Amino acid sequence: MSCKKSTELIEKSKIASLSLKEKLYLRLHLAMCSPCTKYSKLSDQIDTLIKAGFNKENETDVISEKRKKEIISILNQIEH
Amino acid sequence: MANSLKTLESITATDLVNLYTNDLYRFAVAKTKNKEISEDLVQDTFIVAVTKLNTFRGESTHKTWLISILRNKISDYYRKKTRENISDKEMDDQTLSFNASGSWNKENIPFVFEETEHLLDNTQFTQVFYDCIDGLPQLWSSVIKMKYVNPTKSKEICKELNITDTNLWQIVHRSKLKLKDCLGTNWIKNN
Repeated sequence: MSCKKSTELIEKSKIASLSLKEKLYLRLHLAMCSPCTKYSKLSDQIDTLIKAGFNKENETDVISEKRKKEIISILNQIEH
Repeated sequence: MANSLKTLESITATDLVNLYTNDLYRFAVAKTKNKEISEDLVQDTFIVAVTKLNTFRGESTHKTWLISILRNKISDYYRKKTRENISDKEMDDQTLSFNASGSWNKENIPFVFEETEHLLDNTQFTQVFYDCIDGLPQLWSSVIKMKYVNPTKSKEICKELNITDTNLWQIVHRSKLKLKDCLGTNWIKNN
């Protein structure tokens, strides 16, 4: 099995399930391929970074009072 | 909490804005990394909320309710972005990572971060990281964001973005290879 295919299976396994044959091939390949083992780890790290990065809220992000007032005035027009 | 003392009937649009604008805004900025768009998304969220305020049953808090509206707005935003750019379908398989026989190219062998816990505190890294994600083809970055950011079930992502199950993990695969190369060039080599 090629490295390209094995990295595909790594991603597939996280989303869909692998067949028994695919699981076996992947395990065998990873046992003897260090770049693909690294890829597998990097893939997990990227998942972690994306999840954490896009959920990280910043206390200093605030909307200006002016913009808030604009929103309120738009809402008041809808309400009445 | 002061806000929970207000009866459902008496809470006004102005109250909602004063109480929750910044919570919603921070949530939106975290997900979109774009302040201007976040302001608009927050405004749109309140517009939906006000028109539906009479259907709010108090089964959740106002904040949870508003966040759920905002989540939908963010999904709409990803989807719309994708539709606008669907013409540049870079769905071809041209990744730099592998040679014709599917082995790793020497320059593109994967690396591993020493640690990921503190990386996001480094603003230089986050800049590179978000730029790399933005550099993905639109459909791909929408898939990634819906998958990891606004945790959506795979089935729903496929339905909303009109792709198949197989497309989904293929896109994730290609996106990760691209991110690997982008981070390798712009971060690993310089640090």
